[in-house]
Amino acid sequence: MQGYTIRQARALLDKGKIGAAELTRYYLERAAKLSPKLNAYITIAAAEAEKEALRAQAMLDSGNQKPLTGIPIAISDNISTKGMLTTCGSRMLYNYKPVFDATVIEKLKEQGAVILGKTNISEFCLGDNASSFFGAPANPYNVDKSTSSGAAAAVCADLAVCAISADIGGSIVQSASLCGVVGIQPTYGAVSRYGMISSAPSLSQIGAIAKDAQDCVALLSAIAGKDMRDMTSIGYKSDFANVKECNLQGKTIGIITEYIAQASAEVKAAIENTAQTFKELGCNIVQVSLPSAKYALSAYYIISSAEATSSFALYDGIRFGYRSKEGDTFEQNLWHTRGEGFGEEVKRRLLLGVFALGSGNYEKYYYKAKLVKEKLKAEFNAIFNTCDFLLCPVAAEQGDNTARSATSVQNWQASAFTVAQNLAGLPCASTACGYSKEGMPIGAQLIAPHFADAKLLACATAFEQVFASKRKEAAV
Amino acid sequence: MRYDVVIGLEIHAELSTKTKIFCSCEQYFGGEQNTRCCAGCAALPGALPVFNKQAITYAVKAGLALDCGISLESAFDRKNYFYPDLPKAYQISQFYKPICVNGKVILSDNTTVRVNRIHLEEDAGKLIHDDYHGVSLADYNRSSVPLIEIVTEPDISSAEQAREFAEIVANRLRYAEVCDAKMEEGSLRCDVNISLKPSGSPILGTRAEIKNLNSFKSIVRAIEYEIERQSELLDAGKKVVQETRRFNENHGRTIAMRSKEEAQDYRYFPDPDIPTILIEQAEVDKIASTMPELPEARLARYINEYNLPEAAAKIIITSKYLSDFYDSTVAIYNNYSEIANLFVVELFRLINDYQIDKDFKFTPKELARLAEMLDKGTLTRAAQKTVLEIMYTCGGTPDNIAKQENLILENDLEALEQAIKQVLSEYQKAVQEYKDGSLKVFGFLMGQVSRIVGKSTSPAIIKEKLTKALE
Repeated sequence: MQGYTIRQARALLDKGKIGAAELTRYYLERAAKLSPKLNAYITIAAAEAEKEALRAQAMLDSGNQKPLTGIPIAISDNISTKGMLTTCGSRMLYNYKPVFDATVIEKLKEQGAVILGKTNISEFCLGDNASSFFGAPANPYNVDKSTSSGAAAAVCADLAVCAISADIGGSIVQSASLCGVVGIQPTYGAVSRYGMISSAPSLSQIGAIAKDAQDCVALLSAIAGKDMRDMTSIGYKSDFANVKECNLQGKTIGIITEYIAQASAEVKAAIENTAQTFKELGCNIVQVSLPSAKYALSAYYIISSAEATSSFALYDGIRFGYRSKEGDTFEQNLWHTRGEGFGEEVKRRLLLGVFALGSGNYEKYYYKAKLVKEKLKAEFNAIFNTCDFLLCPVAAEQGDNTARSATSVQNWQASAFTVAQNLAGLPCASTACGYSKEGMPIGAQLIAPHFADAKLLACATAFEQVFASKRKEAAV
Repeated sequence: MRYDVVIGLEIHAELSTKTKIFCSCEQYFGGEQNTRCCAGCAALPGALPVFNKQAITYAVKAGLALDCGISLESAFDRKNYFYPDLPKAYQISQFYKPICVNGKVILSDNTTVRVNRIHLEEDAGKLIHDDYHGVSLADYNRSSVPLIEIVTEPDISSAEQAREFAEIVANRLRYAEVCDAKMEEGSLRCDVNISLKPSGSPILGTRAEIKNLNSFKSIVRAIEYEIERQSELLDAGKKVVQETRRFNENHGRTIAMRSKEEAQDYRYFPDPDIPTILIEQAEVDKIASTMPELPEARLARYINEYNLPEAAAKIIITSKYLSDFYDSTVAIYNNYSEIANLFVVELFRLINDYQIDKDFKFTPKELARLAEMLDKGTLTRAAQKTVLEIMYTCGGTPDNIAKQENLILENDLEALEQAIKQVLSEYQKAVQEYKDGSLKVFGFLMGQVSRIVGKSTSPAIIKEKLTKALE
């Protein structure tokens, strides 16, 4: 892996082999040089980062450093940063500077982490890679191919040590998989959503993208925890301290048959190899079935679109953000502002959501989708009675997330293997487990029961240690 | 044709919690624009609602005051619509699982008005239209102020019943201390749903909804106007259109705002930012144990146990503060009617003049003493009035005030006996007339005694002693 992990950077900083300012400058320079090629950052906050580095150095000098003190981090552009542009990849917020920090940002700043800037995302984290108002981020493994998150691209190309990203529908896991890095979407409620600009509150989460699973542990332990400002946040003690042990002897790993059946030969082979590795690590491998998986995609699009219609209703151009010059009345101006401010995919979702919640349709669509969500939770819970972890592909096809399909419904299929876990609120992670013929990374998706985030990362770590020798680095 | 009038009310009441329902901004009436407004009130992206437990408790109290069942599990939903005073473009309300259900209020004519539900919701901001500059400005101070909406069944059949129901609700909310129920400040607002049907017909007519009535008088006038309007339409063989109307107070007429076809589809769905509200029965019981005696129960007590005239009792119960004050005063000195008289005549006059109707500068104990001083002949009634006004405006004990103002009657009994003796011997003819049964002359004799003893003796004592002497 290129560049530094958190642990490597930590050691250099703590031993005084590199100063916080020097490390920050190294990353700012890399970002300035390579980001235009990768379109990974929307904002590089050089001046602020250098100031934060000085503060971090003061913490180091006084011996008060914390696990993330002086670590240069990238932040996904839908997480509010006080006074720093937060666009959500949308024209609607092209000029929006929040007046408050998200809880995760507060926590990172408390630790003395250095925020390098804000990374590119698909518009409001919805839709395919091309939906960002600022253009799609490129995949460092092949810059002709795109990925859905600048955060994964930035970590992969070492334009940041690690990143905090916001997820819906599995985008953290998907983009991490495309860029061959590790991404974790934690248990729903583990990390405060306060300050995350989300489309669908019941599905959106903040997670971590890093060079390995151990770094994800460091990030999650810094940002997780109950927050009085987010009523859906849950305080729980995930045993992050014991992740290093990673003894998988006697653990049972279930392979979700429905997903394997749909995967391409290349992806299927990579997952089977991964299962074999786990077997060699002492695990029992069993086949498990998730019968309601086939409804997951529909349920996900209905719930997320329905929630988006009201969550996005506040974009009216009155208090902040884009405002059209057209229209003489409030209503007319609203039409123009929203018509011009939102991209195609967002508008498509809004129309779908309005339909799903419309008079007479609530019971037919939204309510049923919520039932599917409950059913999936129950099915996962049943599986976890016998399994410690689940293993499956991140997507049926590997790598090529650029080829835009003929219809949006086909595009939406790309999330077919990640939305069920997202609906169930389960922690899941992706780690590289192989490469396609073109040399693009293939991700293995690991899923754990609610609140077993630390065990999940321990499991990923055990696999990484075996896979390390087979790793291939990105071209950029 | 004769028609039956069918009316249902929706009453919005602002809860007088310290802070707003979904954030920690303070809430009260008035103040400079946008000074009690956080990221949540202004609906900045990423802000999240955190519900105020006090608002939940207040809603439960309101439910108990209106005889409702309390839902141990209730939830918030999003009601979606665009309007410039609603920055999120959805209002957090309760649609599928309201906090209180199935209440009732019994009117003075024994009509039972069923309360279908009481739900919690947040208020919207306020628009200030500046015609001079041709702009509208938004004030979000009111944004996210807690409201309850009380929804009745269509059990009301006249303007008078509607007014009585609204007044009872307002008073009970004040007693439960959850809402100050000041219609003029907008802390209580009323929507009226009204339809007419041929007398005795089981089939309901088409209704009109009159929005945002902000006085009891407007409720009556709007209903009366609407009955006239709808019956004229029906008499002429025309149809009543289902629509929302507003009441113009200057013209006394209701005016169409939007028809059913233009009605919004609010697309209600459970708010994913707010978990289900769970309340334990023990918690409800605890809240119930703190509920005060409600106004109707007090009215009955005043009339039946204290023998107060109904009119006086009704005046005292209009305010919980005054009614509590009355109860505390009579607990110290139990001349119920004299103290009621002090309230109804003197205190209400002062309240009218000075507009202070709570946090009095004097205590029930001091008021009890003031009543006692009159009874004991230490003060004349006129002096009592003077002392009360000073107590009300400046504070102070009645004894000290009366002393300072030289209002204490000396009541020199020896001098009085002397004066009576003198008058009885001087006016023997008059005394004889009295003994023969002419009560008229008593006043004459009393006047003569008073002239001698002067103002420093209580007329009550003169009367008492003179009567005794004459017998």
